[in-house]
Amino acid sequence: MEPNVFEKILTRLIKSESGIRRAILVDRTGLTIAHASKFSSYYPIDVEGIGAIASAIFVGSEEQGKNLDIGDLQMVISEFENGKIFAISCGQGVLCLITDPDVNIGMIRLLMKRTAAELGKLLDEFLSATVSIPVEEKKEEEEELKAALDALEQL
Amino acid sequence: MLSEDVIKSILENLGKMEGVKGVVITTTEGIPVHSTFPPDVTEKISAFAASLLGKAKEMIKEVGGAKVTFITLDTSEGELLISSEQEYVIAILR
Amino acid sequence: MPRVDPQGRLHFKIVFWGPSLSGKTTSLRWIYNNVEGITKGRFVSIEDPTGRTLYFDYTPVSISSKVVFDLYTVAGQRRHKIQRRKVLEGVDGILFVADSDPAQLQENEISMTELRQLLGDKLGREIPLVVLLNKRDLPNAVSKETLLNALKIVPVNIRVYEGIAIRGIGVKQAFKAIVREVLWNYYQRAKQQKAQ
Repeated sequence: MEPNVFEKILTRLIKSESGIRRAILVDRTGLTIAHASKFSSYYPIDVEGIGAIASAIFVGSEEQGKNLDIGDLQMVISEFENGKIFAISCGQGVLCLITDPDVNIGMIRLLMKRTAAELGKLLDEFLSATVSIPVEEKKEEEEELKAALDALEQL
Repeated sequence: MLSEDVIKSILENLGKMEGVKGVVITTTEGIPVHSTFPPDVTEKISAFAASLLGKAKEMIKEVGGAKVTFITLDTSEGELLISSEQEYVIAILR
Repeated sequence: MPRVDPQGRLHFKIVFWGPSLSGKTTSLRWIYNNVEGITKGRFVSIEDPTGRTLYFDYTPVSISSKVVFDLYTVAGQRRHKIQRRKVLEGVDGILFVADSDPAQLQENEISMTELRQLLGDKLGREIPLVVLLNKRDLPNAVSKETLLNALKIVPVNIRVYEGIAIRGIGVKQAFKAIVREVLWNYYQRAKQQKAQ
């Protein structure tokens, strides 16, 4: 898979409609896979923490739907005083957008549905590939694990 | 808010117009309120009509500051009329 | 199984589990604030107005450039069972924080039973478990044996540490132990996979 493929899609999504500030792609365990923001100099945020909460909220809502027997969750829209958060199911992950408060909700929904269909396939491919890493990469990984173990003993 | 009665009367009046294929009433945020189309078509028309009206308003504001009241799009298969009413957008296909 | 992010870093998820008020958040905060030599992200908490964990606490830490540990705590109160199950998804290791207060003995037991129900056979095998017996400074603390009996833990194959999380005693050792077990576990399994 091409590197930065997720960032590219997220960046394209941000550019496709006005008012989108950020896009974050997370998996359902809370791991941030990719993110993109409108301005590189934009107010720095803790992406990993934001991603963890975004995933948890979506997964929590999904569970609520199951408990209430109202089917699968498609989208969560959270409206704040100064912005909105949109989250949509995206294969094994969740796609999140942070926008201005006055965006065209209908358009964002439409764009997200389209992007989620495209991203979902790629994400599933990416996540399933990481489960069985090819042998040649294992050697490198072994070194990393050893390095981590050594560092651990130094703590 | 547009009341049910107002929506009804709008639709009735539009129904009397010649050749109307369908109507979508949406908020300026692109959320459909009423439609005579199936959901997937409604979603698209709502999003784009609200977006187009927003862009048109932006443009007119930039060049003179007048108020946009109506947009007509002529296409090879008919026309799309978009008008703005309070915080709503009405899209008519005919 | 750990996950690889697009930057090629390995992510292991370690969850601090245990009954309500046993010291999970206190332990994680202590690690966050006091263990030197780790690179850490921000500390994220979803808590109620009284400061009790409502969903989870989360902080990513790394001890080398290519390996990240995503540390989570769960909400200990019984009514948050669903949230706990969600936090547990994709877990690579458990640090069980037990409460030495005699009044909490049964709560420890219930919490461990729930964990065993959720992870089944994987607990202690595919998913390593380390136990931190917290609040050992309580004057009426239950004995180590009683507590381990209640948890149905045999300290032969499971590492057990005694500590006082609020003063940081035992926390670092327990943390290092679970990280070591998680790394070793993965290392061994990766080697096996390679041999096949």
